[in-house]
Amino acid sequence: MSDPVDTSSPRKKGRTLSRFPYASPHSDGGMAVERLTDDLLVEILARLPVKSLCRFKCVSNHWLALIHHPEHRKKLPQPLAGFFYGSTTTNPATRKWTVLPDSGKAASEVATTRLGFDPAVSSHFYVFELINAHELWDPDIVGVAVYSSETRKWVYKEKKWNAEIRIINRQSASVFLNGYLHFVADCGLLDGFIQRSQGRLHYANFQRAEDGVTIRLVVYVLENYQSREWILKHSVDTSHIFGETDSQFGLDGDFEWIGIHPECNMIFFNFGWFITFTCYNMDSGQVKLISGLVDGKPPYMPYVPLYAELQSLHI
Amino acid sequence: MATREAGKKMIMLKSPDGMEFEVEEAVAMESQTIRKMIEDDCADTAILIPNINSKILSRVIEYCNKHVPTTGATGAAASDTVAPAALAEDLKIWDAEFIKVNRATRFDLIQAASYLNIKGLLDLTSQTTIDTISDNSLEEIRSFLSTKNDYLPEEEQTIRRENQWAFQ
Repeated sequence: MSDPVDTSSPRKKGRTLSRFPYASPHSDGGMAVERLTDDLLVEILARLPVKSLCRFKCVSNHWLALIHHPEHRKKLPQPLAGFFYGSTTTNPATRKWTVLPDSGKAASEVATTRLGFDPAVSSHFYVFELINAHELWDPDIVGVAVYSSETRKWVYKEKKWNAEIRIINRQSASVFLNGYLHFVADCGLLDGFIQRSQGRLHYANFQRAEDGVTIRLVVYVLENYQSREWILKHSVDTSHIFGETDSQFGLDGDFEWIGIHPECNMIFFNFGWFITFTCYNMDSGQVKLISGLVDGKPPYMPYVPLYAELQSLHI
Repeated sequence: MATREAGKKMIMLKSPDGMEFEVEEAVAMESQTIRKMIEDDCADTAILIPNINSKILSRVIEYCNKHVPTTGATGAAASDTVAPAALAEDLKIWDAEFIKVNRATRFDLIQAASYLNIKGLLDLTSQTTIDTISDNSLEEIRSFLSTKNDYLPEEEQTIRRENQWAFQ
């Protein structure tokens, strides 16, 4: 029907309409392209959720190369992690790192430090230092020092939130999403666990069922920030996951949250005498024991490599 | 500037198969590519749009006509009486009808939208394509997008194993 289209031309926004590299005109002036150019494919792939994008890598070698191309990575969705050690920020995938300037806060004042990075939104990152009132760890935070890789400056903000809201644990997971750093705070809720999954804030916890005996694992998702309504996404009797005998585990403390899969309905945790790294699939109800974790220590975090060259790491 | 009442400024768009389309400047400027030409004074009375045939060009113009801010096209009254939400809803329904075309036309529209730099149309055409294929099997995706499986069998095995989670 038509000639194969040259797929090598990069899309340039020319000043004139004289060049049109995509398809050769037909005698009737028609286009009827059989194939899209790489640029247009990337344009389309950029609209896929991460999970589908990973599936699309299996379509062909050519597509894999397209998806992995550094130029295209900037456009394509990828949740990922960077890491924060001491006063450096690093991207393990590209082995690029940067040293941050001093925040002016003494190490003993800093309760905990968190990285805020969402490559789907910006290639810039934030570092949050939660500042203690006292030298010793204390759940009363007096303020937050925020570093922006864009301005390359620290800004100190005094705490404006309710004094009743106290961060439970300096090791607890935090989630950077929609420009907010989320923490689990102690304001009457039980000790739960938050994670980012499928672009939304998830909250998992254990609840005693109405019979007063059974304990259920529940997972909520925050669909709508305006309504602030947590939707129950999943609920399962813990005896299904841990077996009858171990169902009281929660009270014994032999349980540790590890993560919720960034793109799937799966929860990871450690539990039991032998600290078994375990995966629970909310869709199938399957429980998989993965391995023993010898040197594990929370907080654990999900990591998805990001291969893009980040300008924010070139200081 | 000529007054609105006296007549809007018109632009002539020409397709390579010799058709001419007279459109309001505001409508043509839905395309950022054309807007730039007009702003840079590169456009005389007629602009030749190479490689977008009259069939596709007329559909693109149809889209731009519908999406151009309402004050010009349908008279000032429209925007005063119709609530923005209802207007957006109406556009959505119109878009859904508009994009009910065969695969070849869809691809042509994607190319035209990309080349003429019409963000709304590119969003619409790309998103519809994604919605069509994202739940399909690999074989169906290959066939829809006319791409060949160029993996060696062992390569394919490895890549599928690495991305197995995405198939669940």
